Amino acid sequence: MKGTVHGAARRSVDEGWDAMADAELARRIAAARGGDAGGAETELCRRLAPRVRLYGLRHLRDRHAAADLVQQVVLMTLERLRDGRLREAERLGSFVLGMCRMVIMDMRRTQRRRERLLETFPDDVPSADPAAAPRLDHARVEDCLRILPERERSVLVLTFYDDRPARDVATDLGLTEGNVRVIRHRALQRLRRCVEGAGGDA
Amino acid sequence: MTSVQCATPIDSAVLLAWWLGELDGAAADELETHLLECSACARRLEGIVEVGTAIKGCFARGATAAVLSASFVSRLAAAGMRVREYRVPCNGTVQCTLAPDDDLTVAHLQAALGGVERLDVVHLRPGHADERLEDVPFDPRAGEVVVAPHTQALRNSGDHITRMRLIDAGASPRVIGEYEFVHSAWRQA
Repeated sequence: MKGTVHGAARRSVDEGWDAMADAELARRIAAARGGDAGGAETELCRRLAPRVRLYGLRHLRDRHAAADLVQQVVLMTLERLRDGRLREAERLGSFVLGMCRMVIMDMRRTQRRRERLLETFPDDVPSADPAAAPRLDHARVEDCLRILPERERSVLVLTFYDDRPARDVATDLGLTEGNVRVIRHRALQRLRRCVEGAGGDA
Repeated sequence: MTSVQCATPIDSAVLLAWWLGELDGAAADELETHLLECSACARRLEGIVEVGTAIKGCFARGATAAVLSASFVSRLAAAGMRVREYRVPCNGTVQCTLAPDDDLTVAHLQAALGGVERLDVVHLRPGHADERLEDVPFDPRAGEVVVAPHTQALRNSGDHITRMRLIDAGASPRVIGEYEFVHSAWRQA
């Protein structure tokens, strides 16, 4: 990959990359066959990284593991594109999904090995998981959460404390699954409106 | 798909359902493929996840009160959170405090809730207006309502007495029970 992500964002605007489809970027990279693809590699990396990170967070529930996934999947994608191993550029999403799944399976195998090692040598591996830098105004979230109706606040806390599905929250609170989904959706909309400052109340 | 546009944006409720593991099979596959192709939908989901993370942080810091459930509280304790729990019989009194290393304090308000369709909790605090929590979630079979007060506020308060009142707020409103908390600020032994 050439250049930085920050530099890529600027070039993205300068050179009109935003309007270019992923498939076109993939075709340019494949056509360059490892040579200069005119910034297409950097632009594709810029796009894929946050998407793969989300996928990783959803399946691994760990920021560091998700960051590892991004690195591996993005590199593998570029290598395979340069080698011309993607036949249909329009199917880039499925292609990346396949790699995400493969890498995650491999990471889980490694994790199991690591857990076995930890059982044997518990003090040798640091386990700290530092908090991500907050981007939201958390004081504002606190204020908005406080003025939500009680039922909505309960559903949001039970949902997001450890990312539990509606079925589990419903069992906890004596509600129906459908009811939890409705309350959750309404509560999130109300909270986001409040946090974004569209009106003083939640 | 381009960097900024999405021709077939996914509904936020569906994005969240995927995040919480509620989609399976073909629906999950389809959504995952879409998310790996679409920066616009990925960004919207990131926004939702960010709000969820903030909610979690808020609760973990004791910066919000909430009505919970006994099983949720058990999971918190099992995960290592230091939870101070008080079980208060209907119309009973409890001596309570909050230690510096407690992460959360929880009151189990015991009550017969059979037949109750809507429940309000009124919090009566000296020097403050009564606070009425309307239509709180509860499981009538549980025989209790689990309330976590605002831990940070409690930590900063001195000795005081507060009361909570459970009210059947259905067609024929009635007081179900009252619970007294004699709170002592933490004193080193």
